[in-house]
Amino acid sequence: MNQFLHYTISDFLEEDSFIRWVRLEAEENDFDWESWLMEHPEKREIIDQAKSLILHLKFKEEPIKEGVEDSLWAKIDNNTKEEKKEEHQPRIFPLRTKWIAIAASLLLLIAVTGLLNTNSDRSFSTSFAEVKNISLPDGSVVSINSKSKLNFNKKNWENNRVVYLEGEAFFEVKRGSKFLVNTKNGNVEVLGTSFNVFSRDQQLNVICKTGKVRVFSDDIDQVLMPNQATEILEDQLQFIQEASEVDHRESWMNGLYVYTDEPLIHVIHELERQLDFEIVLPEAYQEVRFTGSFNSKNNKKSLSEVLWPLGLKYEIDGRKVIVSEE
Amino acid sequence: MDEKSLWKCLKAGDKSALEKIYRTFFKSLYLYGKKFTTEQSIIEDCIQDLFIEIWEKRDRLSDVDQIKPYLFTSLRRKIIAVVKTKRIEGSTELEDFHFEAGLSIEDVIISREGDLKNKKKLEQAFNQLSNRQKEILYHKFYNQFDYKVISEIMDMNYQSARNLVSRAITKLSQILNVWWVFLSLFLKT
Repeated sequence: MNQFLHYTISDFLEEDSFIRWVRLEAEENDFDWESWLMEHPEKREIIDQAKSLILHLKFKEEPIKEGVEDSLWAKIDNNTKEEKKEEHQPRIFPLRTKWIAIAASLLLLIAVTGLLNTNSDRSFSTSFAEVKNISLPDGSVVSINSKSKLNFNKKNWENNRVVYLEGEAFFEVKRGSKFLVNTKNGNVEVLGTSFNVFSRDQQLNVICKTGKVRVFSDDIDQVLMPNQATEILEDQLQFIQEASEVDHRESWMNGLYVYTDEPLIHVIHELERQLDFEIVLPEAYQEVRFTGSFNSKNNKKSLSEVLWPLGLKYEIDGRKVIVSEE
Repeated sequence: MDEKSLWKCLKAGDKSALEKIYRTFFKSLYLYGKKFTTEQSIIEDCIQDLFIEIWEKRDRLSDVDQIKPYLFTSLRRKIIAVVKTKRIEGSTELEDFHFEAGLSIEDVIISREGDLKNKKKLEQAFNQLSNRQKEILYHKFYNQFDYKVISEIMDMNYQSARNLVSRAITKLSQILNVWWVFLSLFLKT
């Protein structure tokens, strides 16, 4: 094997049998480096250098948190059960009466096929102070804000892009067939775009960042252009806002929450979700409105960002925050 | 049971084979994922997705000799897809992903006088490599994959994989050039 005589360090490092020899893992048919080195003692130095590089290219192994392996397996196990009960949120279809019959039979069909085939439902949820990024089968990405839930079915995804959302999420949708977000307060339909959906309690708020977004429910049907937003409060369509007023709604992804004349109670609920506190507000402040912002990354400081301008102070008792007047 | 038969059991619908595969490769998959992102929820969601997916399409899977490369290829694709879109806004970096691999220098060497400096030197040299170079050295020297496997995982052809390793090593040894003198001294004593 005279070609080895002209080898540089990197040539040796590319020789698999050489690497195995250095690691004392030589296999039966491997080249006999030991004898070769005996015959060519002048190669000792370069071999040593190559050896030391292999031995020192050790990669750090950070410890994995205990229990992750088991809890993750439990989730996989649960999602790969053959006969999965249909416990997920039912899909929502437009509630016009003539559709109900069709929807009902579709649901039945889904339930039946769901039992025959392997389950392809996906469910992701976030808890307090948690944000998740999820990639959908077509490469679209969803960022889910705290205390929210997103369900979808992977089956036939290309032609049937439907997700069910509770809470708030930002979507970046790849171009393709119709993409539908169902929420209990209304539906959002797009082709390929980015937008934010907030659907909690009786409130639905949608902001279109790029592309075109259609928002519809029983009572409304509306198309949003980039940087327009719409809000539905207890079934009442509110308004379409233009750019400057709305472009911070999805800044939650950077931890920033900005409000203009927002009912204080909504802001308090967001603080609760972000900080994992239960906040008790004085009765008299339930109807107050709030203009300002807080940064959820500031932790407890974000409480003062909201409460201080209103002349309120707070005391923390475990996971409870008691708010009172100064 | 060897990997080939384990994979066959999975394809035949044996759920315990899925768990066996998960238990065997969880750690290396997780550690690999950690090189791309520090957000554990991304890694966990992608691993979950990966195993649910192979279970669902088990009857359509092709035969494999080694399971690990198959899992690595798929996990890599999933994680990069998520990480990439997350970094679009405000990102000025040209490479579409980050590969954060730290080196751990053997204790024997560190205990010697003056070795702290050498350790730093090797780390510095390593950090000057590109993300793809770091990743390919990780596959070559940590996972000990051969070039065919590496080229599949990193989605490049066989020859480019060889060239990439070769360039990475050349670069590393150039940066380390001066240091060789010290290092070979230690090895001889």
